[in-house]
Amino acid sequence: MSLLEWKSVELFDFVTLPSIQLNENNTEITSHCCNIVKAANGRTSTTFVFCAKSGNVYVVIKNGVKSRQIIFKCHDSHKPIKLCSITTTNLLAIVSQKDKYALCICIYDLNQIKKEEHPPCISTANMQVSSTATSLHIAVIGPDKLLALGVGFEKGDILLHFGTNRELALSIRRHTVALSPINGIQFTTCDQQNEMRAFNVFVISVDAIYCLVLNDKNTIDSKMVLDNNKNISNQCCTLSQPVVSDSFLVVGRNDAIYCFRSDCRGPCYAIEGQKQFLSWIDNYLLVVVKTNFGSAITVVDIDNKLIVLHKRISTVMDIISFNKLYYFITKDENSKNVCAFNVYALNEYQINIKVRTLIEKCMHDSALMMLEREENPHQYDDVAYVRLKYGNNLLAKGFYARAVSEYAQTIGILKPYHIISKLLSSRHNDNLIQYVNNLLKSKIITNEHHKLLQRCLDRTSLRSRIEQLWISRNDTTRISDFKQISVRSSNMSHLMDTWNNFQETDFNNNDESDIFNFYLEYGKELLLADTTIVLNTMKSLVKSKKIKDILRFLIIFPNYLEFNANLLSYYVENCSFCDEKLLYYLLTLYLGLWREKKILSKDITDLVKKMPIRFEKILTLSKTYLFNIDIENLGTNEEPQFISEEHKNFLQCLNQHIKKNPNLTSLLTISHQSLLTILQKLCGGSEIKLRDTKPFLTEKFIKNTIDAKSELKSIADLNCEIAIHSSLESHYKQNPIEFRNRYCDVCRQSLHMPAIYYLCQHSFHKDCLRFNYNIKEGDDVGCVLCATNLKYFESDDENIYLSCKSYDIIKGISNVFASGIDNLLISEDCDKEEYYNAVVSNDMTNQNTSERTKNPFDDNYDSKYNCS
Amino acid sequence: MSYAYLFKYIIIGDTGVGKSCLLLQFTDKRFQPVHDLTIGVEFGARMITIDGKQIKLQIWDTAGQEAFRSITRSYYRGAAGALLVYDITRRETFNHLTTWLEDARQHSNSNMVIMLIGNKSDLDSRREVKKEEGEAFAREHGLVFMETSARTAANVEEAFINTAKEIYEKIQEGVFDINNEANGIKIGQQATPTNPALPGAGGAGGAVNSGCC
Repeated sequence: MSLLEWKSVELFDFVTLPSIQLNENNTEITSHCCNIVKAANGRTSTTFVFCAKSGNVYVVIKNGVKSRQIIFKCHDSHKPIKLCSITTTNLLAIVSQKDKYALCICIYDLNQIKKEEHPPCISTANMQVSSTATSLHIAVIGPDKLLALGVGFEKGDILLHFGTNRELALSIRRHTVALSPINGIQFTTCDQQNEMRAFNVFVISVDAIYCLVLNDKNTIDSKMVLDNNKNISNQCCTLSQPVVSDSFLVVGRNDAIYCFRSDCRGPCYAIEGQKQFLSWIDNYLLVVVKTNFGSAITVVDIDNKLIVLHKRISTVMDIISFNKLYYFITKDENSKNVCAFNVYALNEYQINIKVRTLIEKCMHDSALMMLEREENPHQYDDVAYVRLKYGNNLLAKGFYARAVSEYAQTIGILKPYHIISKLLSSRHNDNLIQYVNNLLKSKIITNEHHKLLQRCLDRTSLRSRIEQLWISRNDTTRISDFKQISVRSSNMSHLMDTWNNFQETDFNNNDESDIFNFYLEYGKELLLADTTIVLNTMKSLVKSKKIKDILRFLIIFPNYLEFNANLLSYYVENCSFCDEKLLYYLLTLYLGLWREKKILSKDITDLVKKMPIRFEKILTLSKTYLFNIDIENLGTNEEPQFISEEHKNFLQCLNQHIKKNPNLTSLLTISHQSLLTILQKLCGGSEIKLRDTKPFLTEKFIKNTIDAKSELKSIADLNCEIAIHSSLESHYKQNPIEFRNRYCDVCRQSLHMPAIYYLCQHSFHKDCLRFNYNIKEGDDVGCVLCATNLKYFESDDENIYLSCKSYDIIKGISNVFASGIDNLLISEDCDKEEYYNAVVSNDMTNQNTSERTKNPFDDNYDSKYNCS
Repeated sequence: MSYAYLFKYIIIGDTGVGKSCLLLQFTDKRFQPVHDLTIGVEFGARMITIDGKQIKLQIWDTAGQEAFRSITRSYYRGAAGALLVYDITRRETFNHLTTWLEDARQHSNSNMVIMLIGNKSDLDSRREVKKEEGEAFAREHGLVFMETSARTAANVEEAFINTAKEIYEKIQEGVFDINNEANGIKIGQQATPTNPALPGAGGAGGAVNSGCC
């Protein structure tokens, strides 16, 4: 678990810039630093400094696409350059140290570089120290632009200078701060408001963090230990570029990134890994972590808890960060020149792109926070737009109250219509009231809005009236008033009353209309109580002809398919004359039951057989319910009889016509009946109706059904075949042929090296071959057993031919190969039999000419038959 | 904004109990229903008034996951108050209180005021830990107890302010050595501007509200 668990959205563009090639090819770069300077015209120039061990300093100044390079020799060039650092004002400090004692600090003003001239060395300090310099930092701070310089050493002491450029040698002083090597030094202005100029120096050693207050006399006023723990290892540090006023220190450790102020600790962010570089600009924390493959760059928006970039590149040498700009320098691994460097830049997307990206990812709150951070003249419009989108999103997710709260914040910017139109549904009535009330508070409400508010309030009271009515419904017998309300809501006592009423009711004295009204009122509740009794009662009413129009009774119970099917089936069986509509309805009910897996396909087939229903309608209904009707078992193998006697004459006529005009066969044989009907109508000038085309479709459908059935059968057969082959394949996969014998085929003892394995599956000890077959070292020999076998076959050519046909062909070929015959020219056109004959005959020839070809596995062995 | 005292707090407890939501409710007076996991240690601050004195509360909100224990432990030291939070709808968060308490007592100064908070009191229908159990635990271990709801803001102010009151009383009684910043108490510099923006403290000092009560 780390910070990388946060949501990720790419808000930076990673750009490759032109690479840098130093004018010298193979010099050892010991330190490097870089800086960005923004000119008065708004253009930025980037300065890259590479210091070589030889004492040469390479300065590359990039101004847009233009680039120039200056090389100069360090002031004290006899000492190798160890460290360098550059200020934001382009003052370059270089530390050179020959041994542990002699140290030289030079400061150059890179702004003074004109054309190809060397920059002037504005200050130098030579001194004796006691250990190796480990870190260097130079900065220009305060309103007076004073120079602050710090050099950290291996033994924990530091050199500090605070003052003007010129007095470096005089004012630089040594201080003992830590007990472990100094990893970093950072300068920042001090909170103190007395007359004395002072600033804070953060000193980071391997296991501790200190904050010193240094005055303008270069003496330390106070020293505070911010953290001290032997178990930690501070890897790198940076100073934040502040949002408002003060900077804070950011320290990278293996487990996390820790923040410190001059007097206390700050938060920490868990990003694991060995930190190479850190940068904190505004709300973005940039971390470069060393990995096995190079470096991983992560940029995190701390406020929004977002990972805005995560990228892997080759090992980063240095980074520059300035005003939302980040540059990375890596070594050019592809170049032969060791002094070639790649440069990459991170460009933050425009705010509109960022907001759009965030909205696409439903991160509206992050988009809002970003917009609020921007100083944009259209900010309010943009914020309102994002809030509208956010509200829509929340509304879709069912967070109505939060949605309205977002909508309410758009009042005054967006037209209320956009919001109101989304909240018109009765389920959003309360939300609409809430929104319109907000409009009321903002005093931009119109008369229409007032009316709308009144309607909403009416709707609320209507709902409460309905609820009231429902509560008092026991006082009324008109259940039909409430038939839309769920049956489940009815209370048990009322159900019991209904049931008692039902049992006592004598339907003999009522007409069908009364019975219908009774069932309309109590039917559903009665069914809940006991379906069987209700069904039997209704059946008896059907039998006694009390119920004639069964359809309207069925409509009372639309959700009781089984009940309806039983009742209707009974009605159909007992009714002498039955409307065709009822049969279709019965079939529909059966198909519904089949879909709910309450009846079997057979039941439907039986029903269809019994009922005089039109075949095409059966097909249509079956298709609707995705029921695959078994046409063959319907007993209607022959085409449905659409054609009347009268039409037979047409058919005969048509057949004769086809005979005379064979080119019309394809058209006319599709559907004689339908075609004739259409033709007749065309000739007669009468209107062609949609139903006339129906037979075309029906016929096509039947044909497709039959075709599909035959295709299904062939698919099933193919699946069967595939299963057989798969099982065969898996058998071969799981039981591979083992070529390596465990025993020698001569002595029958366990094989041990040196041994020879042949493709024919024969294996021998080398010594067995030597002693039993008189084979010497260096002899090019095939399998002796197979050679013996071949000699046997050689005696009778016919036998060979016969044997090769009846014998396992692979074994035969492997025998031949094992005998040392592989140098064959096989025509691709020759068939297997010819091929085998060619192999055998070639073998004979070779045997006779005693020209032994090599065993294909011989290349794997050396002359002593040891596997190479 | 000047202050008389600065008290450092730490909020601890299992993951998902609502530590960050409590802090957000206290500093920003808002509730965020969907809150990202705290990864590391975050920071919030607010001014309160006790006994007519301005007191700045500097609050560290820690990650609850076991993986972050080593990071969060380093923040115990230098805290004057701790809010030990559990979720009344999750029994296991209550069961882990002993471990948290041992950890806090081991790594913090002995005078640290610890308040036990049973959060999410608005979800009474899903309650798994009775209020009486929380009270008993607090009594047994000498803690102050309160049930809060970061959603409805019920008792949130009281939880932070009561802890501050207790620390203040201890200062008055001389229990705390206020000159030792390791105790998590700092004497304010009334005339000097303070509260520079630290990351996580709500940007431009936005999290610091003055005069809460």
